[in-house]
Parts: sequence; C-alpha cells; structure tokens
Amino acid sequence: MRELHIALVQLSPLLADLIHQSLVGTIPYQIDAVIEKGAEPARSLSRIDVVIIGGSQVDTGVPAINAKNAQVLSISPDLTQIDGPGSGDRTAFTTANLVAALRRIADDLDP
Amino acid sequence: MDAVTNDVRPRTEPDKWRGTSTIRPTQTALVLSDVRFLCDCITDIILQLPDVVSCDRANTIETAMVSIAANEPAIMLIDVALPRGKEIATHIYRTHTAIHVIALGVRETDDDVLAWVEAGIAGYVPNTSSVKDMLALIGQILRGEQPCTARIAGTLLRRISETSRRPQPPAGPAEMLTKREQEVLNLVNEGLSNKDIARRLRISLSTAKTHVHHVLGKMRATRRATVIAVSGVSVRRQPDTHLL
Repeated sequence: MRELHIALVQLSPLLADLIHQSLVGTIPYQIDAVIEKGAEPARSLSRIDVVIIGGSQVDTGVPAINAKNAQVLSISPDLTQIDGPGSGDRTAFTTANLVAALRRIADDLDP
Repeated sequence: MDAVTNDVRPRTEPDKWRGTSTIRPTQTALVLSDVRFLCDCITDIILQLPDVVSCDRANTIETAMVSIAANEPAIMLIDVALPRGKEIATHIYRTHTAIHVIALGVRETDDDVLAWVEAGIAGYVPNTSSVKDMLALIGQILRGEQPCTARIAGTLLRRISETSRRPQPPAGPAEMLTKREQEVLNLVNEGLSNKDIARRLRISLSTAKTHVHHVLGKMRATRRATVIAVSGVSVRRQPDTHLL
C-alpha cells in the first residue's frame, strides 16, 4: 500500500491531532496540511490524496485547498459520522471506520 | 450513535507520554463524552500518563455517575460539547471534592473559560492544544497549575474582585445539611434507594430513611426527584461542537 497524503481541513488543532494520533501504526500516511477552522484557505496541494474535513465546511473546504483530485472524508458536525469517500458511504466516526475508509482509498490509488 | 458505556480499559503498555504528570500511583480516570471517537482516543492517551492504571469511558451523565460511584476516579475529563456538561462539573465539584474535573476542548474566550471555571473545574484544555500539550496540561492541572493567556488571567482576576465585592446571600438549603446528610444527598443524586443507601453507608434502613427524610425537609422537597441536582436525561449533542 502506498503512502497516503492527507490534509486535515477546518478542524480544531486538538481534533486534528487526535485524528493524527489515532492513525499512527495503522496505515502508511503523511499529514501534508492542517488547515484550521477559520484559517486562510488559499493553498495549492497537488499531492493530496485525501481531505478529512469538518462537516459544516464540506462545501467550501475542498476547493479552498485546490485538491480537486483528492477523495473527501467529511466528519459530521456532531462528530458521530464519517461521510465518504463515495457519495452514499456513511459510517460511525470511529478509528476503525476511519482507517477502513483510508485503506479503501489507498487500495484504489495507483501504486 | 454507538453506545460507549462504562468500558474500563486497563493500561496495557507504558509509552511515549510517560513523565508528563505527577498523579499518585494506582489512580483511575474517567472520560465523559457522547462521541465515541473522542472517548476512544482520549482514553488511549490518558492511559499513557504515568500512574494511571485504568480509564473508564462514559457517554452519558448516568453512566458517568455509576462509574464515579464504583471507581472514584482521580481525573474526570468532560467534553465541553456534552449537553449539560457544566451541570455535571458543578455537581462533581460539590459532591466529589477529590476528583479533578478537566474541561476538554474549551474555546479560550473570556465567556467560555469563565463559564467553566464557575462550574467548578480544576482546569481546562483549550481546543487549540496538541495531544502532547494536553497531556502536559493535565499534569500541570493535577499540580494545581493552569497555564492560560494573559487576557484570561486578567478576566479571572476581575471576576474574583467583582465577586468579593458582592453581598453574600444567605446559606441555601444544601449548605444547612450535616456532613452525613450531604453524603446521603449525594447517594440520592446517584439514584440509590433507601436500602442501597443503608448498605453503602453501613447503617440501618430506618436510619437511612430518617436521613433521607431530613434531607428532603431541609431541601423543602416532598419527593426525591426534586432534590436530584443532576439527573441522567440524555440530550442530543449540539452541532456547534467546540472540538470541531
């Protein structure tokens, strides 16, 4: 499995770091960008494979970091659900489900 | 939402965060959040603190109270987005003085910090912290310290000054309770029956009934439900969560 390049967008630093820590030792990954809630969004991140984004900002966050080829996992505002990567995919927001979603994305990528 | 109820997780391995806290050996912790991801992550992280031997998780106030009664945790972390979180913090402050209640994910504004401080917390972890910061902060809070911004310190000083100038109200009914009656009130709040209270305090059933009767009288209540300061009604989490 190749290393996933991940951007954490519109999340508080604490939640972003909790997500980061929860992924340690599970899959090969690298956090390429952490864009906090309310931070300046104009970024060009062409290498990003996955954007994990705070739920209420789904519509604006992905274009804002210019990562249009990235898969999106959005976390619901009440932190209970993960939506994505497919349009109908919805699971409870747990570490296991987050890792499973990232594995699916990684498996679909070219080696 | 997946249920997370009283799942006590023992420490399994020493790890990287050791050395950041000074709490006494063989202590337990409790994480209260209705978000499973947070409960799981925070529990795993808290178990990295030195001397924390187990960490319980609760996703409702009721399960937290059961855990507190069973385990008497040294640390209780409350997710600030939990509905009625401040009420439970106040309740713990008044009834379980040995528990360090820490508000997790506080937005570091004057209003938010003051509201949680006035609820009776021992300290808070801002939502801008990293995990490493959070562990260091918990260690500092357990030593009676609280790093905060100069602005927050100024706000707290002003509030103390204002409070000290206010005339003190007469003692409320709860302050008129004897120590034993306060213990009985705490157990009533936990939902215990007279029989359970008698068993817990190792007193006769009739003595327990007498204490409960006195508590109800002093609280000017006719029913137990009236004196329960914190009940376990499940309330939907607010979407505007501070952590997110």
